[in-house]
Formats: sequence, structure tokens, C-alpha cells
Amino acid sequence: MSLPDAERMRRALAATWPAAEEVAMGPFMLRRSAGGGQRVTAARALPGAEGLAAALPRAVAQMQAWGQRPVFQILPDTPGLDALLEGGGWAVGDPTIVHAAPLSAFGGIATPPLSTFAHWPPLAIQEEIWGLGGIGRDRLAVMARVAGPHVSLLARDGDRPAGTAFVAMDGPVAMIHAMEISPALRRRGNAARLLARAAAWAAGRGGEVLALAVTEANAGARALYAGLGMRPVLRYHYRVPAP
Amino acid sequence: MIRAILAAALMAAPALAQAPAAAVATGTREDPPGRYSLPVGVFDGTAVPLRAVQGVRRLAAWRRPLDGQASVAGVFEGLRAEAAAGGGRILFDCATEDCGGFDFRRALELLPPPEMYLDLAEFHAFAVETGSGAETGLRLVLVSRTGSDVVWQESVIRPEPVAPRPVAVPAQVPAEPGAGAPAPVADIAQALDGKGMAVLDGLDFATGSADLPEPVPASVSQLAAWMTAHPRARATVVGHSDASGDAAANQALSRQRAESVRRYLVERLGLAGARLEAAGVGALAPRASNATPEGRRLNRRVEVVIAAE
Repeated sequence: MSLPDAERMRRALAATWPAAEEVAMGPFMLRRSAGGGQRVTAARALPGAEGLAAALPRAVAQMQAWGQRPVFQILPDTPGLDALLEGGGWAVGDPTIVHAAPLSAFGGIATPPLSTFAHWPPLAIQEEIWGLGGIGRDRLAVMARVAGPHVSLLARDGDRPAGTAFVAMDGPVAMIHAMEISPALRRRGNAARLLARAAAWAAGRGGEVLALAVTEANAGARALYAGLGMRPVLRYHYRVPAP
Repeated sequence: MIRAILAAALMAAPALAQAPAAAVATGTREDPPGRYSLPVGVFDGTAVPLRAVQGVRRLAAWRRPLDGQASVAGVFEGLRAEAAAGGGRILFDCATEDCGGFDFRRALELLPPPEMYLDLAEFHAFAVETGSGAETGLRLVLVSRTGSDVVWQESVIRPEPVAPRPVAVPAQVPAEPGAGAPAPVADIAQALDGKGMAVLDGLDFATGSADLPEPVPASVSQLAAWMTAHPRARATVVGHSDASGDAAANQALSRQRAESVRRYLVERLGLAGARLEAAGVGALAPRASNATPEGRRLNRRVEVVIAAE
């Protein structure tokens, strides 16, 4: 089967990790959230929109008025915004690649009984693992406001909680977010088992594709996903105020 | 009879009368009897004035393509003229920033997309009283755009006919400033525009601490937004202490508090560091008497002074 196109993946990313509110402002779509990171606070330009330069100061001021650090998400279909911000001295932040594969790609991963669990809401131990990875209350709030089907995943390894993740669906696309493996239990197949569990969960809900976003800098994770047959389907980066 | 006329006036779709060929109704919602509020003025720096009416509420939205015959302002003018011609008392009208931008939008109940959209860069609103006496209702019309369409919504609160006595009272009670205290600066932007300086309200540091209080008050965000809107402005953040304790220590702490605010503006809100300086003046510039606890509280503050524009 063919994988969804970049615009479809962008929508799935936004729906499964949603801002508290999206607010249109001329050529921009702003995201308002109390914390939660740049994925839920970054503004984007609407494809084909004009007048970006004239509208930029107000968009920046609105983000600041919300107490948010101004940040823009640069998608493939808005090169004009990237050039504008580059010219204004904004720095590139976190180039990111969304990887995806059909659910069948994960069928070969063995998930022994009691090695993975899927449930909602997450357990305290998962919040602990997330917390150690810097995923705090603001990101738990992002998970809680997802409108579509969603679930948390827990991996166990040798009777120890080993990792956790969040997965949510937008139509046939299941997206994994906030995957965190305890440092002592990495490189033992826990991440792959979480992906397999996510794929099994999504398959029962009409899912067709499993996807996740990873920063370009995270070579280890990218190698793992590529090894499982996941392919890049969307690339974006952020623009942040110059340091 | 009066009620029948009122009902007819309220339920008529004025938008359709204005643009019969091109306007398309996109959605409606009827809310059960209850107490509903609508803006009766623009954002004043602190709040959007609301009026609550006991009754039933109806939201309805339309759209039509933007073309030679229709613009956001044009549709708005048509609807407002029609409301005025219908005998209603127009309570206010406004456009975009003058309404209060996002602060105004937050006071509105909108039908969800795709029925209604609001573009913060271009919208107009007016409110009109309908009927009179015990039958006084409210109607708010909001016009904006999305893509290549003009979109608009009307929100109507019709006094509940069976209610023993429909009431219309202000929902917003203005806050009483503390006795003897200077009134709080409602809007940092207003103060900066007018005086070139402002007190950053709500920054109540813990005793002896220079850590920013959480949540960081809106005054700091408003300062950043103002600086962005005035790209040539430079500013100094000035910390002040009360007069109790050691003068040198007070001076140092007030400097650290100003630096905390400056760092937040630069690191969190993305202002260029070169545009901001931090200074501490200890207890040298009081704005109230240091003889009372209330006076000392007022003297512990952070101000911003615009240096050049």
C-alpha cells in the first residue's frame, strides 16, 4: 500500500498531539498552549498565503502575549516563510522527520505475553518514566486533550517497567508520541515491542499506518525505525529567535 | 403582538436579505433557556464587558465568496446598516485590534469549524439591542474570513417569554482598587504608549528571592508583545525594593529581580538581548510610604522604562 502524503501526515501529527487551540491570523495559523513544547506552540504559514512579512510582527507579538516563546514550524509547502525568517536572523531548530510504515511491517516483531500493555489512563510508573525523560505535566495535558482514539503503552522487561509511549489515531493513521525507554533498558528491543503493540492496537481500530516523528539528530532512533521498514514521509523544522 | 414582531425580527436571517444569491447558511444551534452573555463593548485592557440575558440563544453562521461584490468590511457594513435601519440600538462596533484581538475573541462563543471561522487578522463585530423593556434582547454579529470566503455569525439571545421577569444586568463587575492604592495599570501597552514606562503588575517575588513567580504574570508577556510591535524600541527593566533592611543588599536584590525579568523576556519570549537592560535602584525611588506594610508592598516592584524608539 502507498503511504499517506506529507499534508495528510501533517494533519495526523496535529490531531494526535494537539494544541489547546488553533487560531488563524491572516497568513498564519497560530497554536496556543500552556507549555507542551514547540509542536503545540509553533505557528505555521498557510500554504500559498501571501503577505507573510507584513503579518509577521503581529503573529510574533500574539505568541508573546500568550507567554509563549515565538516559534514557527516550517513545512515543505511554505518555503517563503523559511526564507523570510532566515533573512530576519531566526535560527533553525530541530529538523524533524516523520517516519511511517504500514501496520503489517510490525507483524514480525515478537511480543511475548505480559511484555507490553495498552491502557488509558497511564499508570503512575509511566508518568515517572516520562518525567525522567523530561515529559512533564504539560505534555500529559496534551495527551489528555486528544479527541480521537488514544492509549498509553507500557513495556516490561525482566519484570521491570522498561518504557512507555502514547499512541493516538487520526483516521487510518496511528501516531506514536512521547516514546521513552528507561536508560538502563535501551537497546534490548523494548522500543520495537512498543511499536508492535501500537500497531496491534491500531489494527483493531481500523488503522492502516503507524507513524512517528524523530529529530534528524537522533541517529540511533532513525536507524531503528529504518530497520523496521519505516520510511520518511514528512520533513519539517522550526525557526526560533536567534540566541 | 409585540412578541410576535420581535420574534420575527430576531429569527429573520438578515444575512440572506443582504446577499440572497451568494450567501450559504453553514450552521445553526439553538441553546435551551438559560443565562447567556454577549459582549457589549470592546476589550478595555482588562476584560470584555459582557451583558447577561436570561433567555434562549441561537447561533447561526453564513458564508459567501470574497469577490468584487463582497469584502469582510462590505458585508459587515451591510449587516450593521440593516440592524440600525431595523430600529435596534447599536451598542458598539469594532474591527480587529480595536475590538481587542484575541482577548475579544476569547469572550465569544463561536460555532465550530467548518461552520464558522475567525481570522484574528481581520474581523468586525457589532452588538445591537433588540426589542425594549422586558423584551430587550441582544444580538452580536461577527464577520471574518477564511480562505476566499467571507464568513459571519450572529448570536441572538431572546428573553425567555415564560420567564417571570427577564433580567438584563451587567455580568462584569469592575474590580475595586484597594483603598489608597494607585489603580492597577490595566494595559501595559497603554502606559508605554502614553508615559514611556509601566509597572509590571503581578510580579510578587518571594522575600529575598529573585526567582520569577509562577505563573509569570501577563504584564511581562504584554511588555514583550509591545516591544515586538515597536521594533526600534529599547527598554530598561528596573527593580525596586522597599526601604527595610540593608541598602546595599536591597540594591543587589532589586538588580537580580530585574535581571530575572530580562532573562525571561530574552530566553523565553525571544526578544533580542541587545534591546533590553536590567538595573536595580533599591529603595531610592519609592512610589508610596515605607511606613506601612501596604506602602512597602507597593514599593517592591519591577518597572520598565522605554529608553529610545
